[in-house]
Amino acid sequence: MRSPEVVGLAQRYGVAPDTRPRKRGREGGSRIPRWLYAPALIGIAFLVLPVVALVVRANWTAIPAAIVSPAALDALWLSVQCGLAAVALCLVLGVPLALLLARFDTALTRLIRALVTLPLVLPPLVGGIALLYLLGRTGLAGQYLDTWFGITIPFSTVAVVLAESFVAMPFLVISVEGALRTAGTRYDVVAATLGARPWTVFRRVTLPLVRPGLLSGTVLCLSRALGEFGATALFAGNAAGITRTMPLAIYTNFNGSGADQDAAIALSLLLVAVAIVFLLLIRGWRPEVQR
Amino acid sequence: MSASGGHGAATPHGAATPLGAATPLGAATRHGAATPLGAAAPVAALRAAITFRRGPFMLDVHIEATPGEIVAVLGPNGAGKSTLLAVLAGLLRPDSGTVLLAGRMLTGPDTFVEPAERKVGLMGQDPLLFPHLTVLENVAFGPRSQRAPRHQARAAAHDWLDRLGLTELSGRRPAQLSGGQRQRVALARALAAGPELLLLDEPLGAVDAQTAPEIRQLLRTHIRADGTPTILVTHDVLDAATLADRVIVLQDGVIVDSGSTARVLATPRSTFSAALAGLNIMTGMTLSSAEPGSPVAIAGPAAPSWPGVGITGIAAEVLSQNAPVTALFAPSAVAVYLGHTGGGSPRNTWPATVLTLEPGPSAVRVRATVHAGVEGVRGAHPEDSVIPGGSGSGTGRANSGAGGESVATIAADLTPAAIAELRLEPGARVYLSVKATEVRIHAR
Repeated sequence: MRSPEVVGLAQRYGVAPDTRPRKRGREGGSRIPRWLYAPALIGIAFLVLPVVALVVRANWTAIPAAIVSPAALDALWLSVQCGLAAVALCLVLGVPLALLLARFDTALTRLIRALVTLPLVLPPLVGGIALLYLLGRTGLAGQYLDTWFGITIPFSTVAVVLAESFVAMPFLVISVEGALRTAGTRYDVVAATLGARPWTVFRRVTLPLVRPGLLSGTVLCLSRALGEFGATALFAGNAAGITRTMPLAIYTNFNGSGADQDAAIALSLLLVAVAIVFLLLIRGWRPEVQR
Repeated sequence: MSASGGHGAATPHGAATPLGAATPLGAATRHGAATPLGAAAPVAALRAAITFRRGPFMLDVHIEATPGEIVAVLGPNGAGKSTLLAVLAGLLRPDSGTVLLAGRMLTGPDTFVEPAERKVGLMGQDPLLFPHLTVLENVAFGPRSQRAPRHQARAAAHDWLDRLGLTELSGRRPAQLSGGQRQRVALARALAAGPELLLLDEPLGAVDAQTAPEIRQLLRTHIRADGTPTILVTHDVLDAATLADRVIVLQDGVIVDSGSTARVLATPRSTFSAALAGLNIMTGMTLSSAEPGSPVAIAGPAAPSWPGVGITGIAAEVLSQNAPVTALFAPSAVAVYLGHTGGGSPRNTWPATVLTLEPGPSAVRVRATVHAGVEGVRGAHPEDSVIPGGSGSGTGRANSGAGGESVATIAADLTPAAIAELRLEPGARVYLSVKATEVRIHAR
């Protein structure tokens, strides 16, 4: 495995001038202990077989109809809209945040880093509850939004976007911060001595240098947003056409009033397909494969 | 490469006169540095006096550079060289002091100009070309960042790439270049930004031995042509000897020695520069072209400190005819005779007067003043008037700029037994000689 950071580092120091199209495979001299193959294979099975079961269990004749049903299309369309909006919000807020965390190393920034990565380890349900207590009608901030501006966020499409952003943003921040730290500030310094003002440096040097990390962070963030369920369910509810995204539609079909398991499976497969496309995109954006 | 059979091609090195045309140029440069009041002295483009404290470390430096002048800053690790550059570039704020560049206050009590507004270029050991931009875009980055229209920035970049012979690389990405090519592109990029001060931090530190002379040549040519004052931080005495007009030796944050390159390297006043250098240095012009490893004769005076004295040595790199060069040889390679050796094998023999004897750990270092014009002027030199017997200022005579123009100092290491046998003492008249194979000649 060669992470983009390692490759970037090596190329920057001229250690690896031309290793980009290197083929995967065993590097000379490194051999894996044979008995480690067994747990590795079990691991693969554990991760892949559930999806296989989903595929096997699917009623393939019913799938096309289930996918193009108005309810499914509504959920898909809402998911895409909310996912993209959440990613946009994460980019606008998360990239500057990552820059701050990467460039300042103080006790305060270390505390902030711990806090902003909290949603990663928090059960999304807890996130949903927390959002409700902040932005709910009687919440910490929500009561003022309600009385002063007449704005009610919970159980709206905006709430879906906020719930997804809350859960997904740490992925982007961590990924971009890592890339920024790897890139360091030496190129920024050179750019400044060439007459580039901070905004120009950010736009023309800092961001392009972290492009691989930024892109993979964005895709991770989008995937996480599309799959978000817990926080959305609690904070935004499950109103068809307003807050019922794909995961909620799957849950509703599988468990709820409709109890249409075929539709649930069809939508699940659709989500799996979307996720696989994104994961392939991440790989495709790695610098080795790029140019 | 071949010698154009034109003027002076056949001149034997001994025929060079002490009245060489290059003298006034060199003298003017030195006067400018030494006497700020002189009417003809060039205005110091850079004038900085700063102190910077960080824990127990304290940097306290005064540095100046005139247009087109290259000032080398030598010193051991941790001496404060990089800190000095960072302060000049505006990457660090000094505790006190000022940085004046071309009349602009960059750093002062109430002033701090941001790096982007300073017009101070920085080029380090690592070229740090932007990996996502082509060579052309890298070089155009400076003009573009300074709000030049795109086509104008690209035209300027093309121009610089052309000047540095890099045109055919313009479409490549940094990853597709060799180390030497990257460093040349980095130089083009730095110069294209139009700096009023250029800071070079070990610019040849990561370049292989074959490429280094080429890059030195580029630095010399373009810094001189552009008139950009330059601070060169290096720990390679060769960089200082071949590039710098003046040398500053920094140790523990303070300047322990400074002066003309020839003076500092030939008669170092600090332990560091002595350990570093202690080399005999001589500048002049080649009388023929030469390939690396082949003998070549040079004639002074290209610098006033070596008027009329020629020397033959081994070319360290490709040299063209009539090119300015620096000859370097160790004091241990210099032999001392009482009488002219006549048909002896060394081709480099000069009449000289012993100035000082300094006992060292393994040998006695003899310093002797060489007289101009080799054979011809021998009887005519007014040595008594220029040798202040034993005074400490004697070592600085070669660059004192007045009266001593026709004299230079050479160091020779002899055993105490040899000193006794020759009965050397200050004032003794001797002949100094060094084998051509002991002399390395570098382009300057």
